[in-house]
Amino acid sequence: MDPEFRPGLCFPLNIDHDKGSLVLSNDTERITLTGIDPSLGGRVIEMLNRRKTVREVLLTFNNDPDNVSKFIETLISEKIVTAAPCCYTGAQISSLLQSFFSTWNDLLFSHPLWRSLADGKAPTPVLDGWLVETYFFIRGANARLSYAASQTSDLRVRGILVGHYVEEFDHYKFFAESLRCRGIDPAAVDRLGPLLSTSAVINMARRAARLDYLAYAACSGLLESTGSDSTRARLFYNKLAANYDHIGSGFVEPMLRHVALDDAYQHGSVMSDIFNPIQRIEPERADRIIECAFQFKETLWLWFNDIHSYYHRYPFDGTKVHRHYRRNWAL
Amino acid sequence: MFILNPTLVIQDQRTDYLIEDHVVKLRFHGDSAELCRRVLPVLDHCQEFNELASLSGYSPATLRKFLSILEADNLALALTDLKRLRGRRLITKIRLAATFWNKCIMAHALPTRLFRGEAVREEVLGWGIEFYFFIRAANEYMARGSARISGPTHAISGLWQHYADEALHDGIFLSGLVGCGFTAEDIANRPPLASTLALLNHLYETSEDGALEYAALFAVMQPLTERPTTTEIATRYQFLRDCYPFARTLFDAFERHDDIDASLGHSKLLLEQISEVFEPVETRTVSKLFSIIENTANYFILFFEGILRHYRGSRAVSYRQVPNALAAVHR
Repeated sequence: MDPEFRPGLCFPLNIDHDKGSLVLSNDTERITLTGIDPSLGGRVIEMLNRRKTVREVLLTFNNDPDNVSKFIETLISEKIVTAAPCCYTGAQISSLLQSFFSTWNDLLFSHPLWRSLADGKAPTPVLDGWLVETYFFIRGANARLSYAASQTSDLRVRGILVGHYVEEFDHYKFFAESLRCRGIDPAAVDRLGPLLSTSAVINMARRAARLDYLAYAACSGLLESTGSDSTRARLFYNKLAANYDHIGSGFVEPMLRHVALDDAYQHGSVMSDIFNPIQRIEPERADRIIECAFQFKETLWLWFNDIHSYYHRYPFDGTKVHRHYRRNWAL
Repeated sequence: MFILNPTLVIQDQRTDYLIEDHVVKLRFHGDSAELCRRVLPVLDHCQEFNELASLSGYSPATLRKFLSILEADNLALALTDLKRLRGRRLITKIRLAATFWNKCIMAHALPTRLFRGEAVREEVLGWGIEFYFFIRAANEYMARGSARISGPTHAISGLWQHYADEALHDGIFLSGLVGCGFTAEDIANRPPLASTLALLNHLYETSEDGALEYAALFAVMQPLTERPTTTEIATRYQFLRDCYPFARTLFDAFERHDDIDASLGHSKLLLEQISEVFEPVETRTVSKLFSIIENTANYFILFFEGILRHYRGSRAVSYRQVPNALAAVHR
């Protein structure tokens, strides 16, 4: 093995122990490695996470270089570590992101918020809270998509983002209509404002946009990958109607119309339309794009947690002039 | 509007009514207990004292007296009659709001346990890591704020000076963490938690709203009327070094930073230094300033919540994979 080789840990990689063995896992695979002390193996992987050369790693673990060297070779043969290429194509990054989105969506939509809404176990205030925050989030297309367009120097990509914006900017109206059907005045919702975590999602997308328009495209791709699964969305909305619309208010109808419109626009292909024609993406830039998409996914998880726990405790009350984000007391 | 301290514990004991936080305990008896019973539940619904009077049945004068008692101990905040909040009255109220919200931040479980010497290793180091990201973010939000503010030079030069004073401080904390056994690149390349990014993005987004709005971001970080002495700072950190010997160099860094801040007068309210120049401040802006102070405090609380949720085992401290695109190589 070339001592100057700088092995990179393929993302994602989780480190665990099981019955005295080192267990490494990513989103789809779990590998148990028996030939190395789990503590030593864990420390080697932590060092590889710092992108050290083989020589630097072996110097650090100089009392057991053969074992460590063999371990690194195993990691290479298991495709857990690899060398960075000189560059990626846009299609490669788009394909990688799609594979991440597939597992991330499974994780995100297994959150108790979504499960409890789908099976009708969430209390009504959680449904209303979810609707309130979704209204703000959809309205937030104006804060993130237009901003992303403004930060994009590549005219081809900017054209796609602008086209996307023009098709998306007023979709909050569907959710405002759903709110009215639920007896919630959108003006009161506007007055009280979103949860901080809803703003955090929009702000994270804006952060991605100012770091790199391709990072924004990746975050947007994650959102559209959920929205473009119209069969799943329709199924979910129909479950909401069955579970919560006993008086026939029709509150899911506007959301179903929204799904139909998004279906017609085919926004699920926006990300690949942006990435696929790109011939060359430098590794550092590609890593940054993946990092942003990952952080966006983590922010979405934070958001779901917040909606779920907040509205369990504090139902939306449009007659208030102020709402506490966190509080101990109940009056 | 009226804001009841979110950390309060409230107990209605029939004859008595108890309102307490971790510093103050107030016991109301007889008619006063009845007043609490009728007033506190409707506080969130009222903008001004006359509305509170009509909803509770008490006179505005009685209510003003009651709220002033709570406000004196930071148990409530009365943000009423904003049109008349000008000059010294505005600054006094902002200082009150800053102290009120700072107290809420510091009542959170993480700082409470940490400063009592009761936190576990993972929490202390996790806090050190995420706090480093907060300090480093000065070169995002303070840089952005300094670039975006406008006004007379003598008014805003203090804000520029403040940024220049802080611009290089991330190095202090990074060396503190390196002393705890981390490598500089491990920390610098590590992705912050989503809850940390939520705070940093809030600071960034608000920093470009205007000079007063930018200065308001610092209010909850500057609640002291008198700057701490070197001895007070030294005593505080010696206690923490004794409690957490594994993080000795981290607390050295905090002590050094606090000493610098104290010598530069950073405990002075920035808004106080500049607000006179921007008089008269529009009522909408006054309202926005209070909202910024509240939101900043709540984002700090979210920041603490994220640390407690994530840093639960030693692996969470030593390993957080830097996301990358390497898996695309095998696709």
